[in-house]
Amino acid sequence: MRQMLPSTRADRVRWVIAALIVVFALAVPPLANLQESINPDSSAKFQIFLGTSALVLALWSVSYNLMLGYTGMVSFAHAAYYGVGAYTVALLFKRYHVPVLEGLLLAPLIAALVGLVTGWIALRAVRLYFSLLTLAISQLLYSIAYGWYAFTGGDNGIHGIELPDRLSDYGALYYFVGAVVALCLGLMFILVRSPFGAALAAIRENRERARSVGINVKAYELAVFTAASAFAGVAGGLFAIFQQEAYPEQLYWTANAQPVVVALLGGIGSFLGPAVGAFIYVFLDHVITSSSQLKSYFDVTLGAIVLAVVLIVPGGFSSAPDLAVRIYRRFRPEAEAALQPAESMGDAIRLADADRGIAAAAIAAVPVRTGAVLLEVAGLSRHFGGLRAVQDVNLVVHEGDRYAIIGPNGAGKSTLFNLISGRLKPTSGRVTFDGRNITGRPPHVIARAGIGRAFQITSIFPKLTVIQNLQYAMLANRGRTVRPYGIANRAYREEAMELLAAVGLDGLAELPAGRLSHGDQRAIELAISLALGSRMILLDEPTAGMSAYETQKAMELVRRIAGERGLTLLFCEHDMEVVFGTAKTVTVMHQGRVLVQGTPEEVRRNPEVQQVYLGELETEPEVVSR
Amino acid sequence: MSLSVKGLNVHYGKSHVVFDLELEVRSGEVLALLGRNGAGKTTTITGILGLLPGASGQVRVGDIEVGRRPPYRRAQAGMAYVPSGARCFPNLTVLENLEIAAHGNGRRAWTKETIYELFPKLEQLEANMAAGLSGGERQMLAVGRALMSNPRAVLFDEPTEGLAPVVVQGLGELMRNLKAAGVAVLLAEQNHQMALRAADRAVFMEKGRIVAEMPAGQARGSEVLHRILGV
Amino acid sequence: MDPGKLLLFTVGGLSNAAYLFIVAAGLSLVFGALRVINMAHGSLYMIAAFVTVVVANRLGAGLGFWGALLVAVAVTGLIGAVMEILVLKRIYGQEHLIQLLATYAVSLVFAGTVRAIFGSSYRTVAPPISGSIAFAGFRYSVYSIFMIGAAILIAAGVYGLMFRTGLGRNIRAAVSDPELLNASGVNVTRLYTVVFVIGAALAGLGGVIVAPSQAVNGSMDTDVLVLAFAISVIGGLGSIIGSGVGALIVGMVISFGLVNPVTNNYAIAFVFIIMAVVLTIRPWGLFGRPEE
Repeated sequence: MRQMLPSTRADRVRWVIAALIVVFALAVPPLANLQESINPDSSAKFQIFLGTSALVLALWSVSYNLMLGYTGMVSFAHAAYYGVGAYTVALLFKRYHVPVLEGLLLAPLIAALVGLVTGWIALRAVRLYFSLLTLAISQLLYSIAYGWYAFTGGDNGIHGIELPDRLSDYGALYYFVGAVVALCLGLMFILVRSPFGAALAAIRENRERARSVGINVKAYELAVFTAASAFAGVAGGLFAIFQQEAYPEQLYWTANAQPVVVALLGGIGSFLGPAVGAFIYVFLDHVITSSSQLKSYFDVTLGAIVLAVVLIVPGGFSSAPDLAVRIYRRFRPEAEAALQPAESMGDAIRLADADRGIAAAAIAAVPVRTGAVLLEVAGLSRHFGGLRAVQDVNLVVHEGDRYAIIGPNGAGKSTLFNLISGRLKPTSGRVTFDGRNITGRPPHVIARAGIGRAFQITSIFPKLTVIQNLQYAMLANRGRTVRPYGIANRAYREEAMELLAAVGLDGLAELPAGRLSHGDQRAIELAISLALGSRMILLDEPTAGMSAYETQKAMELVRRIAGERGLTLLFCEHDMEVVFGTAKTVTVMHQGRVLVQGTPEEVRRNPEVQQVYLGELETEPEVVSR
Repeated sequence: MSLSVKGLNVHYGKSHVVFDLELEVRSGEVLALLGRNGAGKTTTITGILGLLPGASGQVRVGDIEVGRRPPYRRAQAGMAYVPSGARCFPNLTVLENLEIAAHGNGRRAWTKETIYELFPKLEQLEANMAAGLSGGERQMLAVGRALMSNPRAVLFDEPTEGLAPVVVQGLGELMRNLKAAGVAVLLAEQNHQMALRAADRAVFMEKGRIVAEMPAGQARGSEVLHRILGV
Repeated sequence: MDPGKLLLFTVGGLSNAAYLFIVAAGLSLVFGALRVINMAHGSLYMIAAFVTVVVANRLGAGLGFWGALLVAVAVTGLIGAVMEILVLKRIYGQEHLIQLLATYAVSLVFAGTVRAIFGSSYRTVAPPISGSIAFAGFRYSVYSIFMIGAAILIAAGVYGLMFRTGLGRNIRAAVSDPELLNASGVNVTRLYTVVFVIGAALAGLGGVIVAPSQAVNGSMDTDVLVLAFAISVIGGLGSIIGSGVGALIVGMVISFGLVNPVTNNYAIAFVFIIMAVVLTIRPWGLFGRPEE
């Protein structure tokens, strides 16, 4: 039985709202004419003009939200690409006499090209530094538009762009702009629902995790940055057409306030939110500037609104449907009880079912060749300044092995894992996986090569549902996220469900992963690492924070799946019971070096290990019992 | 009574994780707080320290009621914290790490000099950044920092976590020093062998409640240990 | 370029670097301890410049500037305290996105208020120390030498504060582990307010010092903010030394960009090219640390 969740009801409300928006947008010119015929003081032309500017703003803001809301990138350069679009149309017309409609076709291409080149530079940096770098790029483009007087007209900008006769009527221009905007919105909608969009969502939710499931984060960020630039270019081109001018302030970094405010007002969490925000913004703008008292306080009012939205209702206008559903359900308690989703009790792992895991199609099914070398680490070192975190480490992991690395905190275990999984680059040495040199390759390449990873500190995609966590990981690892069409949420549903059942999470599949309790999130972490279809899995303290029973249950699951499906395990762990109960081979690390390696029994009896790590404690009970 | 806790409740969002907890530790006494991973030991310690917004209840240090005060005022009233894995301020020198906890509260038993007497190693490392210390040295520093505030009670949150077992064995000696100084010690530990050797009494937690209490000697090898900790 | 001219532009670059350092150091200090980029930092600088103009012109020449200095720094410090308590406390530890947008909104409010009160006209204030020195064929205003001296003094002051006082030690401790600091008996909530007030006062100090050397106007907030970002990014966010080196680079580039009419229009563009180059080679700036 498919459970009716609150989100699906809100989704229906959203579709209704989207339909209403389309109807409203279509009705703007007739309504404006009607109003003028009733009230001769109002100007239909002006109303339609406002409507046109709202449409263009909607396109610009939705394209901004491809980065802001869908990928989690804050760019201060989006206005610059909008400006590039406007200048493309304006300059082609003025300098080369290219008609504006042909100019409009070129606008996205030029904007995309500029976006691609500048984005490539900006994406050398991450997060905050990326934002500040886009600021620099934006100012650079602005200073070209402003300073290259001979070509761009400097601070005067370009005026007097002429339209073809067909578009000289305000109503016709409105519908033309509306059609272009609708086409672009349609393309963007397909994009965000596609497997490509899934990769963007994964990046937004957790960059590090996205990388470790096989997503080339920088490439996807550059792709979405370029695509957003192209759509901004269309918006800018439309601006040049309906305003019949282009000027350098369009590119100034503070101009980014507009799409940001609009996206926030409408809500960055929904596709059409910014489009709704655009109409609200144009209306507010009109009200404020036509009032003589408010006019001089435009920035103050705008700032106050943004501050209020950020601090009080971060969901913006588009969270209204959820709010409405919540209020509706408050008056219908019986409906609420029926809709209440299952509660995450943190006992998923107790419900784990190893047999279902063994049968899961998501797990790699490469038969074990008899004990061939799978991973070889040779002379691997990593220094941080003077600190030798990992020093000349050699390891050989055979297929089907369960290989444990132990040692105190600071021994270099996590650094070693980060070196193998590509999160850190080694200072020297070599890592070979399945005969292939993977030394210093980026994490997404290593993930795709067949090394999956579970993190010590739970690393999932918190706002995605539990099942999406697995679906998107599978899409990424199987190289499907390059597809910009199709519907990501329909891919690998059965396979993901199967795996969720194996770790005891099938009852919670549609809940946002971040809402689950700590223990259940550990189970997601484990499921993601299994879903990757990897031949080898790196587990960094897989049972951290689990009770003794859960630890036993989780390790049994891992051990049985690994055994039956030919997975190779490389794990580190502080719990010696887990280590000696699971591992076939053990390596002890101490101060960045390998102290000893061998079978669990050899390691346990090694006097050096007893001296620096195990001490007397671990052996004491045995001595007593003998 | 140097540390007493009554009716401590902790909520994380909607879920209730520690229930009506009651504890008393006399000065010069070490009380071990034992339980499985996830039983609520760390939550109890951080709750008593005032670090959790969802914690409520009476907490008394010496004769000062601090249950409604922010963490820094609890610290000033005589509570000191040794976090798990002996966390320190890595970007401060050893000396700065010690000085940071010295707030003028009128109690002057512990000074930089007396702590250097206890841990001569720290004096040699005085000007080093804490980031470069080994696990054992960090342990000394974390305890030294706690003592610098001349505490009435020290709360240890799994001090042995992530340390080499060989370093863990030195902890018993430390506890004896603290007892001698008349400090009340609450020791939350996963490592029950070490904890029971150092403690006078032990309480056992399960699912956010205290389920048993007994002298440490009696707890060693007892049926309770087996039932609750699964050993 | 002859040596006399070289010296002229170098001194010009140093006096640019002087006020830019003071502003950027405040931005960096706040980011280092609170992990928030304050988009309203330039607004505080602009407010201080306007306060200086008003107070100094009312009090008259001579003492006026020094009185204005005290008033302007006090005003920006106070605004900083109010802003920290009302806005910043709600956004600590949230996504960069929320932090950028919230402080950006505050900057809109400040900028709008300043423009509503002072309009769009330019204002000026006489420097407290007038006169100039002739050297190797060019004249140097005493005030630009004073600016350089003031920046060196402030740099020493900030260094002393961070590494020679208990407050500085606590600020550094808050950078690495605020929870442990709180449990060690330090009022971290108040410490954060103090840090933000110091940052705001540095922005204010920059605004006061720059006021006699430039036309004070309603768009100087974004102008300086953009440069302060460039400096922080080149030097590394959160590093005071980085702010100094970054300010020197940016100050010099702007000064030497004005050497001839060809580069004149693009002087600012060179700053951003350098910023892009630095980040391409060292994504965390020259003295910054990678953020995880």
